[in-house]
Amino acid sequence: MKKLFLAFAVIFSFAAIFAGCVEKEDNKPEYEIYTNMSEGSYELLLDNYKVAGAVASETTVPDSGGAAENPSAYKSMGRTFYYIMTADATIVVSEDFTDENAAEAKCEEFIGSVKDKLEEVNASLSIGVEHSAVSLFNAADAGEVIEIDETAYEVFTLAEQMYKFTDGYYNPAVYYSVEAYGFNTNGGVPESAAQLPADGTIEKFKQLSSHFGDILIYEDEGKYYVKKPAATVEIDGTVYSMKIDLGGIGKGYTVDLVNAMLDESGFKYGYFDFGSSSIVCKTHFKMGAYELGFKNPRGSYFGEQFLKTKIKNECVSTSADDVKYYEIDGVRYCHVIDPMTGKPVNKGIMSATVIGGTAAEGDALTTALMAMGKDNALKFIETKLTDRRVVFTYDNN
Amino acid sequence: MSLKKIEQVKADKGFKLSDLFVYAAIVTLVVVLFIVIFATRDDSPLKGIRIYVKNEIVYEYDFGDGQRMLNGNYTEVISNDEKTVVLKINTGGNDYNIVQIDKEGSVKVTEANCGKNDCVYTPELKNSGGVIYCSPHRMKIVPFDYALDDGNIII
Repeated sequence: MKKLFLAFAVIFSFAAIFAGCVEKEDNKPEYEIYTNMSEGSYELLLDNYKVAGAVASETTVPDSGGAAENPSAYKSMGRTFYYIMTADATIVVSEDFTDENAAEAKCEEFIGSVKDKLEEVNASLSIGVEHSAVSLFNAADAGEVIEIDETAYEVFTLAEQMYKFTDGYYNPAVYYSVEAYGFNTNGGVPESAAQLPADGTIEKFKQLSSHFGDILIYEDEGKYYVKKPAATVEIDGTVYSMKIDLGGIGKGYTVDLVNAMLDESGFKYGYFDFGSSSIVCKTHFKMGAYELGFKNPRGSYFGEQFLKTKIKNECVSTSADDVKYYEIDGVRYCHVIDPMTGKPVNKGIMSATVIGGTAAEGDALTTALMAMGKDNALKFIETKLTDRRVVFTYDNN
Repeated sequence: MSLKKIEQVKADKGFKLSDLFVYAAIVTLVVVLFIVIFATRDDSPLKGIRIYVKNEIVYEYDFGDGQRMLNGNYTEVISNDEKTVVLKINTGGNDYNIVQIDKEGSVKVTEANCGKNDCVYTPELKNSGGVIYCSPHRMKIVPFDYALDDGNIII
């Protein structure tokens, strides 16, 4: 009798534990992953993420070859640069330190040249620098022609190309919406529905941004110019002309520049990370390919990952709705603006990552994917991004 | 139970050769899993830590030799007793992080006014496998032996 009782007690406690687990599982929200990466080329790390849709593509995962022959002789040197286009940039290079002084000098010199390049790009593109090309454009009157430097010319051109390529889903002219929702300002974010911008205001800002394609970018006798669109909108007696922020694509562009610098200086091993929104990974001196972890946009702790894959000699870009956001009445308002509505994206895509191609393209593409919504994004990946690895996460609720 | 069966059960007591194989298999499995889980990560004990503000090392704690203040403008020792050192890292303006070093060999951030508090939520450092980073304050706590490039990139 005693034994029987004991047996029941054991069975009951197991059942209770099991039920507890099941209930806990049920309480965890389920998220979907859509990717064109082939099965087996990535590893799922969280059980509340499910691969819901696989899109066919010809992408491959890099092998782990290419590591240094004598990795124990290698050392890594790196540095983080702060407040470049309102973000931080980190360069890390690894070299054979058998001849320590020479290797150290080589790394130091390279890191110094990266610093100079970052300062140059920041001076041209930052909205926080008063006389940057972008600030001059923003301060100019509608229809005015502004002379810009070569860096700005290249990034304006890239932005225009990506605007067309994404059918307007990438649009750097949503500046006023970003500001109206409390991002990129020092004024703080809205705390109640009453503090959110009025629909009429947002509609006008959206109209203004839809003229991004009217910007004229041209070269004349070795000098570079942009002509600001003539379109304006009037809200409560104030006339607004177009303002842009090339920070997103500018970070990707900088990653591409540093990638080329790494090649020119003969650095095979290392990486350059700009604001964790675009990264170029060369080869890892010990492992060959890098392990790339995808941050969970609904992570329960900082740095939690939901998926990982390998990356080598490629650029990766990501956008997510958990970088800067706030919630009002259960609705999430994030810093990524949907150019088609002028409002923060809210079509269920939580994050989007693109591996391959240039980082400038990647930066624009990930922002665009967030705004497209699931169906359009899938179609876009299938038709236009067949040569890149793409992953996006989706909240079905 | 018949007498014969009881005899049989008694005879079966103790180890048989086949039992030993099962036990050996279980022990091997446990050892292999243990090695797989622990050998792949850097869990060498913390020798010491450096605290960076922007790119400057402002404070160093060596678990063998004790503390070294490298830039007093950023660092304020709130308490230092047998077991713990508590520091206030002033990162500019009114911004600060409170860092607690356990002299047994661990360090954590207990408080910060950065809003996000990622640094406070980061588990305490006990080995050389990780860093604590406060991105709004540009404050970093890095183990002496931390590998600058361990081949892991998170995006």
